[in-house]
Amino acid sequence: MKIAVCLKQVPDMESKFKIVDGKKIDESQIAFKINDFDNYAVEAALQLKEKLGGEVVIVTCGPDRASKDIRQAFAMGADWGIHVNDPAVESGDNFVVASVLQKAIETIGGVDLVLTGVQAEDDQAAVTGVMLADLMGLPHCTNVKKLEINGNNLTVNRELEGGFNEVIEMSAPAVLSIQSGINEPRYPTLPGIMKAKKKRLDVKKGADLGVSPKSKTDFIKMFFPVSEHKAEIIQGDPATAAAKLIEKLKTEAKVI
Amino acid sequence: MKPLLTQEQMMIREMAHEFARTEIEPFAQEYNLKGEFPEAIIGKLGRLGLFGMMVPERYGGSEAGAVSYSLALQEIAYSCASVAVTLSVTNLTAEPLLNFATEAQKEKFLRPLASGEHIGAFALTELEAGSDPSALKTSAVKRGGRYIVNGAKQFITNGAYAGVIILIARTSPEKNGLTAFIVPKGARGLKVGKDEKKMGLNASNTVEILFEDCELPEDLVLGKEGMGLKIALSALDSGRIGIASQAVGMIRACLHEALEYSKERKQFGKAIIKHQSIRNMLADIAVDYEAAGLLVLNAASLKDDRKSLSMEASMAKLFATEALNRCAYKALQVFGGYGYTKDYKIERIYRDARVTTIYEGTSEIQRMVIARELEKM
Repeated sequence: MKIAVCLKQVPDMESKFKIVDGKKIDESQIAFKINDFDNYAVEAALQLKEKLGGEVVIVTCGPDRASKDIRQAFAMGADWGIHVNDPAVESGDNFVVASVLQKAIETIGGVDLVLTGVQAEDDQAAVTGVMLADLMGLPHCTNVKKLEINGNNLTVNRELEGGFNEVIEMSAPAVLSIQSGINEPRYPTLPGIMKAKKKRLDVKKGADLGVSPKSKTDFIKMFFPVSEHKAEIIQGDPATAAAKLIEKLKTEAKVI
Repeated sequence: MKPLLTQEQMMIREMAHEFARTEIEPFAQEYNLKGEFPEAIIGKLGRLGLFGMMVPERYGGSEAGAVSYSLALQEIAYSCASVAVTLSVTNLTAEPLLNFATEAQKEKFLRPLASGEHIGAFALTELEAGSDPSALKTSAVKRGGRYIVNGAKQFITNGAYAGVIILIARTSPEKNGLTAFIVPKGARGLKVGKDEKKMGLNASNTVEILFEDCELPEDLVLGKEGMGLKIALSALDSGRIGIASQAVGMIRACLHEALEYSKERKQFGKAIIKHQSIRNMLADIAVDYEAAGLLVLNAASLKDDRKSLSMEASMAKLFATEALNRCAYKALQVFGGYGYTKDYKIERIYRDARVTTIYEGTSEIQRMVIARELEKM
């Protein structure tokens, strides 16, 4: 079974974030790591490979620094990878990334399964996997919490609100967005880390893949949410306080 | 500190960091309070390839090098100094096997160690032979094709759990008449003696090892008869890098604990970090951390470049462990009375820190080594 895993490098959320010119994050004080959700996708792919044979290919859009985390996935056991390192893609939106991923995965050829994380920890858009499936014309399932494969038949559990699961049957090839907690991602072993540098990593530009998609959204600005401390304590015994509250909700807040 | 590390070194540090924070930190206090050896954690570290970090791949090691080894130990010592010393001694045991064992001995004893199957121990110290190993008395008398070993070894880290022990014993009466032996677990006449009750490092195993007419076939001699002292001394540089790295990781923990606490604790109407006397202590700890970290990185990269490093390894060990002791003192001072209770990690660090200026060569021995090298200049 040939599995492609889309992997994004994200800032470690324990880092101190500083915004420069309302446009981007100051990277000088930031440590980067594999998007946690993608780490589960890598583990899911490796477990399938161990069971069924085949290969696991990592596909990433990102700048130079992203190669560290592609190699991290190699150290865990992935076989080779494609790194689209292109400023034009970097400045694009999720649609641009999904379009580039689609072309990159096509160059691998014969992919049976594409795994992504449900979302990225940084922008939390949770759309790339869905867009990718649409662009590839493949069936797709989000929030995958369990995955079983029998030949070309996939049985997946999709996590719903309130602790419910939906069981879906679908067939490969397919795109699945993996939810955290589906497995316990392994640590890369030291011998794995030492072997990772010898594994094949193809570095490409958008043009090499014959694609130059335009963003569908405009990026306006980036800012920290302003927290407002506006609270009014209504004094008095419960009956009068409740009456006053209702009065205020009607006349001042105009919500009832 | 932002040293120039390779991608592999960064990845190894990151892996050790993740492992330590997730698999060690939450359990370290309990293991230490109970005085229990964390076999499960040690087993996992072995399977990740952390036992044979300077051993080539062909003998089951990961060949990651001394810098990687130092970085990994720092991350682990940050969470638990006991686990770090267990790891350090195991890596140190691999060194003489790598440098002096025959191919057959390497297959039989180095491979299982390097690939994480079992931990190692180094039996040199005795009651009356500490800093001066040439005074040791444990005897190995040759009889036919065998050596009969009798004597007692003191303060042996990992002693009760080791799959393989490197033993240094006396084979002839002259001062340097020492020979190294490979003693497999379960050898007849090999006994585990007193389990030391220690001030700190309570989740590490330190025991007396007894040899009572222990018979060792001559193919268990490591190197040649009479090479014992040379073999013992050859492992020292790695051992010193190991303990210096342990100390650096622990200084980092002192800094973290003191910093977090000083931001939360309020006295005289403000967080104590706003008081100058506390700020000074934090600044001193941070400087010691950077300085100790760079010294050990220097010694480790000399080792990776196969350059002589006796003086640099001793400098790193001396500075880092002395620095750790003053940092632990200051960090505990920041905590005030709370730091004196077992509710806070700093109390454990303070006790664990004390032995670092003693084992793997006391501070006094390190100064002796440094001065001897200076004299040669």
